[in-house]
Amino acid sequence: MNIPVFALLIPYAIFLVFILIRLFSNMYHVLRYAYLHRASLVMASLFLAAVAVVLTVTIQAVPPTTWGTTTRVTLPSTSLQPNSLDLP
Amino acid sequence: MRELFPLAENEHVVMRLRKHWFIFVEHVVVYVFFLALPFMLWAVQRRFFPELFLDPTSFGNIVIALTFSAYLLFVLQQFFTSWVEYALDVWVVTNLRVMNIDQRTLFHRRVSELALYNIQDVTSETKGPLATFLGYGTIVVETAGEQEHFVFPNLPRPEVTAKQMMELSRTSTPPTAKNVSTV
Repeated sequence: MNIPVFALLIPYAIFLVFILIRLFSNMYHVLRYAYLHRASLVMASLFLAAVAVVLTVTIQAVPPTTWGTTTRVTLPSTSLQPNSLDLP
Repeated sequence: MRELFPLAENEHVVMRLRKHWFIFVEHVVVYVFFLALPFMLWAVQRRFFPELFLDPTSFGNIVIALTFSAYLLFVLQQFFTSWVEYALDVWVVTNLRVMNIDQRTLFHRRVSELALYNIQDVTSETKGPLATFLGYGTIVVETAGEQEHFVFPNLPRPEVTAKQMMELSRTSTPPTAKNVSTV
């Protein structure tokens, strides 16, 4: 069975939107109340950098050139070997 | 401060308190474990099942890559939220009042203040071996009247802070206008 890669990306994209909304909400709090804790700006930069690394690696694992293609679902063979059930 | 609590003319900040650093370290340990978990599974797969997922364009590889990515993004986002809740949870003591900025969840902020002259008793409590060795504990401020007790959990050096707050409350005098409010 062939499945378009794009179909697999749709749920991921929906989840990514949810994550980005939460990240921007966090950034909003950090920037608005930065005077309460200066180190929060540094930490926020580190978290954003980590998110950028994860997204970069994901794009490398599933490059845009494959988004328009299809992928074949292959299940591992479960057939038994001819002599596997031979009893002594 | 300037936005959440505009200071009066004769008011100045005496102490700015936040939770002990070890409280966040506990969160760090948990989140680092959850961040490392998929990498450990990947290492196990490479060690014991190297024949799996050899084709990078296969269905299984793509699904695993996207699941792996979504999981890491979720844990990172939760970690970031945990940091924001820790960093923006602040107690500010001025010469007139105590202000508590409590970031409970990302969209749940509780801001309250207490006039120092209302303080009747300040109790500090250090409970447990870790709290004893690292020097953090809880401060409970009891006030006159029917106001709720103010509890400051996991503050560093609770005995010193409690003593300073009690001394400040002794020197504080009631203002002419009522300046106690809870938001």
